[in-house]
Parts: sequence; structure tokens; C-alpha cells
Amino acid sequence: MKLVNLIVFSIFAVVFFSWVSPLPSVGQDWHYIFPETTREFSVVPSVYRSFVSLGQNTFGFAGVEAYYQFTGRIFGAILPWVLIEKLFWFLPLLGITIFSSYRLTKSLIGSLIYTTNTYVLMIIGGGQLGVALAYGIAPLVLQLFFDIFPYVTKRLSRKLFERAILAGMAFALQVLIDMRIAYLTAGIIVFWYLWELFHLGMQKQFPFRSISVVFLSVLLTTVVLNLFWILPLLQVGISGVAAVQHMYGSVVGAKFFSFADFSNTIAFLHPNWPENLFGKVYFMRSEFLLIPMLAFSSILFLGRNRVDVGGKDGAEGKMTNSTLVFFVLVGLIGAFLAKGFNPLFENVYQLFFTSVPGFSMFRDPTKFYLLIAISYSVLIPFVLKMLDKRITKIGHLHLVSLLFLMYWFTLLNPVWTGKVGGLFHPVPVPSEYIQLTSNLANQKTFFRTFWIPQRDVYGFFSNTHPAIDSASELRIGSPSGVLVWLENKKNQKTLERWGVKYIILPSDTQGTLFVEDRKYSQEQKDMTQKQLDSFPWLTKKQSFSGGKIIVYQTPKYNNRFWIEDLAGNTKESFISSKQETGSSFIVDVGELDSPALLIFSEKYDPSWEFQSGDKIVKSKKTHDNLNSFFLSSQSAIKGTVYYAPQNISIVGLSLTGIGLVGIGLLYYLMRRK
Amino acid sequence: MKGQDILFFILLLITVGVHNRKLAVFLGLFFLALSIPLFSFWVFFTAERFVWYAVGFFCLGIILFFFERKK
Repeated sequence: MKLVNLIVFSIFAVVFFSWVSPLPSVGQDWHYIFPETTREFSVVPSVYRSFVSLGQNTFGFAGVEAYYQFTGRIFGAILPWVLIEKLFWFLPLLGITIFSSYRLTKSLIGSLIYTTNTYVLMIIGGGQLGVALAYGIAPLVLQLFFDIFPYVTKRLSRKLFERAILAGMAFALQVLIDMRIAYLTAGIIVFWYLWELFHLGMQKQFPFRSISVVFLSVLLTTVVLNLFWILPLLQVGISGVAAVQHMYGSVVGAKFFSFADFSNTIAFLHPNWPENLFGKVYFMRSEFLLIPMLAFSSILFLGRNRVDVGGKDGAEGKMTNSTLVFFVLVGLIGAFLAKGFNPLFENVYQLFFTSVPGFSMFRDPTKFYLLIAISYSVLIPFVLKMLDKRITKIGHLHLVSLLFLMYWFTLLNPVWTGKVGGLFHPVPVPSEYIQLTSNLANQKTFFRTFWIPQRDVYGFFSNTHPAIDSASELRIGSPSGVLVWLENKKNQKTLERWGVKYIILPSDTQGTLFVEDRKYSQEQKDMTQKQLDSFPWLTKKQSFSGGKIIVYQTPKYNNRFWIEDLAGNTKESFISSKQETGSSFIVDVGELDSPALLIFSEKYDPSWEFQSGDKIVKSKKTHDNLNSFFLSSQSAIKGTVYYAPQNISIVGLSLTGIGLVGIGLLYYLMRRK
Repeated sequence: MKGQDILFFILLLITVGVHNRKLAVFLGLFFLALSIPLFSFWVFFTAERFVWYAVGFFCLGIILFFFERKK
């Protein structure tokens, strides 16, 4: 087995070797962050971020966002981004995934399958590290819940409480990282419990009290650990939930995102493997079909009461028939759901999507690859072990396992031949973006930048200089559509009110911004530039690195705050403002000669408030979806504009701290003999 | 309904008739193996169908196992 272990670790090393590079990595969802950005990040978890476009709440992803900003802010002052991403994201992700999967599968080959399959490599390569982390911790969560089961009896026991608390903490952490993956993990856990209870014939003597203890422990720890975003979400109410819901999906969206066929899913092959270009689906690679052949041949070994799958300690690590069938079913269900709206029986997915609470989070059905990963990483090592026992009689060579490792390594050839980009292909930061960042960051006053069609992965942004992805903000699919929008004089006024000082035509470092037939099109970029050059109201300000990035200046742009009279005309006034945190600003309006409106150019959200003294004014929507605060007073007005849910978030954070201490104490007392 | 679908149903009925779990699994593996060259030669429709049949036989294998246990 030592040779097998050595080869497994060698494959890990080859796959993730690029992370040893001194160069930073970027992906579609993992951008390079300049120190000028991290110094404005928030140390305290924030439920709002003002550096994105016209502002955005973070209810749907508050946990990951908090970790991202905290590590960036604290360590950004002393470490370059390349080290921050490796120390606080890449290496923990790898370590957690390997450890977690080993805990469940009790097999290094199982860990290898779980950590280096095409699904997770595409997730990691694309930079979706929050999803990857939640995926990585899933096997550990499952194993901790499986460990509770022997104590789920009619009698309550100390061990039950102890294990329920531990499992609850792990699950709570997963919810904090990514709700969708946690939802799937919870589904597997519920299925497991029902399955085992049924098989043990306990359905007639349902251990109600034990199950209640487990359920309540999980609920309590999950809620406690996530209070800092749950409380603000409750405060915001239906609109906040709707905002989170909107982040997820519609049936139309889910149909569009159903890229994988049944053959892809059963073969555990991500449809975008290996180039990971959004929407580009490749022909089925038949060599991957050996994977399900191995996994489902496990059914042939049913019939024995207990089968050893490794593990050294007694009953642990032994596979029972019901466990084996359970994982087979998890794999089949995962493969069926991961194809989304594609045949076979696609109506089932539609039914689930529209009827099952929470299922609409899975606009992207490939999330169900988690179930396939869990299943195959348990089943395949089991089959290899059984085959090794039967076939290899020559001194424990584990020939079948060795052959499988060679096969698996061959499947991953796009990784070690450099075809998988993104986070597996570190490159130096392009000089044009270093120059652009320096240029923008040295300007200390507030303004926004407007990127056509969107900010590149190296594009600079900060609280002082938020970046607008024009295509996303305007919901227009192409650069030409944005140009049509810019031609409209009314929209030039919109840019002014948004505080846009610069329109930026970026250097397309990933080849995904100016595309024709999913390939980078220089012609498209040149046409966009030509059209921008022709706008008389824009001034070509600067270009970087021989025209790779071109910056145009608008004629006029507003500050973040300004005063309007009640008729909607801008009033000349002296306003000073200072951003305190990511969700609050100190504003000094000065004296007003008549009632007026304080306009705040973040996207309208009813949770914004202006407090001056003990007077609180709630935001009202302007005609163009910005925020406004009615100022009736005529004397000097100074106050704070703040995002109200953030205040309750701080309360939630404090309660989380107290709760964690309480839960920790309870766990310690449970463990004491 | 295509010819291969009819073949599938015939084999399915035979397997159910003989109540043989291992036969179901072997047929599933057989159809997966058969789909490999079909995918390689871009005969996608039939290859995809064979994958569906394979999954069908695996599900049947599980169902037959439950019946075996009951006996």
C-alpha cells in the first residue's frame, strides 16, 4: 500500500504544483486584489459592500465575504496578495478537502477522487473558492453525522449530545461558507438517517427524542454561528429574502445552465472540462465512462454481511450492504439531478425546482456533482480493494489500484499539460493594470469607473473608486449594447449621477470580455474603441501599455452625496463626506436655506438611513433608483448615512461570540467523565 | 420507439423474470462499455441511450437486491 500512497501524493503534487509558484493566480471568479483595495476592506463582517458597482448587500454570501475582507485587510498591509491567496485560501482548501474526504472514505484513493475530479477542478480553476471550500468540508460534515447514528437510540446519552454538538458546528460552518452546498449535505444526511432507521427496522420505534436532540443541536449551532447575517436578513424581511432569492434562479435560468448530459454526469465529467469556458460544452469523452463502470460494479459485491473497506479499528471502516446501496443511490440521484433540464425525465427537475423549498438555489445543476463525488469516492476504492483481493495474489501489489491510479492520472492530463487555466495557471500581473491602479488610486476623491463590458480580473476597485461592470449593471449582453446605451443623452446624465469619472476599455487578459464564437475578438474590441472615440462628450484621457487599456473621461460627475431641491434640481452646496466603514458615511451638509433632498448615489435600498442627532430619516427612492433623504432642517446638518442591517449584524456577531463560548463549554462538559 | 429501446425492454423483462441482480449489473456494465466506442465515433444519440439503459439496469440491480433480501 505504500507504493499506492506514494503515487497518490505524487498525483496531488502534480495537480496542485502550480500553487507553489510565486506568481498570483486569477480566475473568472477570483480576481487579483491590489493593496490599495485591501486597505479599504472591512475587518468587521459587513452585510454591505460599496466597492462593487452601485453597492450590494452580502446576505447570500456573508461568511465567505467576511473572511475574504478580514484576511485581505489584516494581512494585506504586510503580505502581497499572492501570499494571502495561497496561505488563506488555496492551501487551507487543499488541506481541508484531503483531510475531510479521507475521514469519510478512509482511503487515500477516495481522497484523490474527491479532490481531483473534473468538477472540483473546474470549480477551483474558475475561482469559486467559497463553493470549493463548502464542497471540501462536506465529507467531514457527513462523517460527523454518521458518527452520531450509533447513539440514536431510545435512550439519550452524553455521547449523543457530544457528537451532535460537533456535527452541528461543522454543519454551521458549511452553511456560513455556502448555503447551497450545505443544503445538499443536509439532504444526504436526512436521507442517510431515514435509510438507516428504515433498515434497522426502527420505523416502528422511532427514536424521537434522540433525533430531536440531534436536530435541535444542529439548528442551534447553525443559527448561533450565522446570526451576524441571519438577524439583518430577518430585519430586512421579505425584500431581503427576495434579494437573496434573486441571486439564485428562475426556471429559464436553470434551463440555460443545464449544460451536462446524463452521460456527462454519470461519467463524473464536468461539461466544461477542461477549458472551463462558460457555455462551451465539449463532446463526451468516452474514457471517463470507466469511472461509473468501476463505481457501479460495487453492486456485484452485495450479499456479504460486512465487507472490509480499510480502516484499522474494529467496526469502523467496514462497509455494510445498506451503506453500499446508500452510496450507490446517492450517486444515481446526483447524476440524475446534475443534468438539470436535460433528458432523461427532465420534468422531474422542473417539478423539484418549482415545488421543493430551497431547490431554486440550484439554477446551476452542476452543484449536484457533489453527490456523485461523495458516492464515487466511497464506491471506487471499495471496488478496487475487492478486486485487489481477488486478482492480486502477488505479494500485496495492489495491481488494480495501481492501474486505476495510472488511469486517473491520464484523465487529468489537461491539468499537467497546462490546458486547464484559471487558478492552475499563475501569470504575472499585467503592467498596464499596475499602471492603471497607480493612476486611479493616487486620486483621493470619490468617483466610479465604468468598465465596458466589465472589469477585467485585474481591474482596480475600492470603496473610494467603485467599479461598475456595465454589462451586468445594465443587463446587456454585449459591448455593442452598452455603446447603444451610452449614445442616449439621458444615460450620459445617469453616468453623471452615478459619479462615473472614467469609462474604461480594458485589456482582456482572460479573453472573455470581447468574444466572437467563444473566442477572443480583437476586432470587437477595436470596434468598441472606435465607437467610444467617436463620442464627442468623452475625452480620451490616457492609454496604458500601448493602448491595451484606454481610459475616457466624462465631462461631469457627481460626488457620492449632493443636494437637490424638492423639484429635483441640483443645488450648489458644500458637502463633505467621509466613509467610516463599508456601510456607513459621515456627512456634513452644512446649512440649507430651504428643505431639500440629500442624494446618495448607491443603488436604492430601503435599509439606508440618515441619522442626525436623534432624528432618523429613511431612504426614499429617486426616479433613477438611487437613495434620497429628506432634510427639513435648515441649520447645519451633520450626521451619518448608514446601512441599518449592519447595526443588527454587530449584535448578531456578539451573540455568536457568546453562543460559541457557551457551546464550547457545553461540549467540554459533555466530554468530561 | 427505436430498435435499441425495444431491445432494452426485452432484456429488462428477462432480467426481472430471472430475478438475477448480477445479470442486471453486468448488463449495465455492458451497455456502458458499448457506449464507449459509440461516443468515440460520434454516434451520440445511441451512445447516450446506452448510458440511460445502463443506469436503468443498475437501478434494477438495486431493486432486485431488495427482493433478494426479503426472501
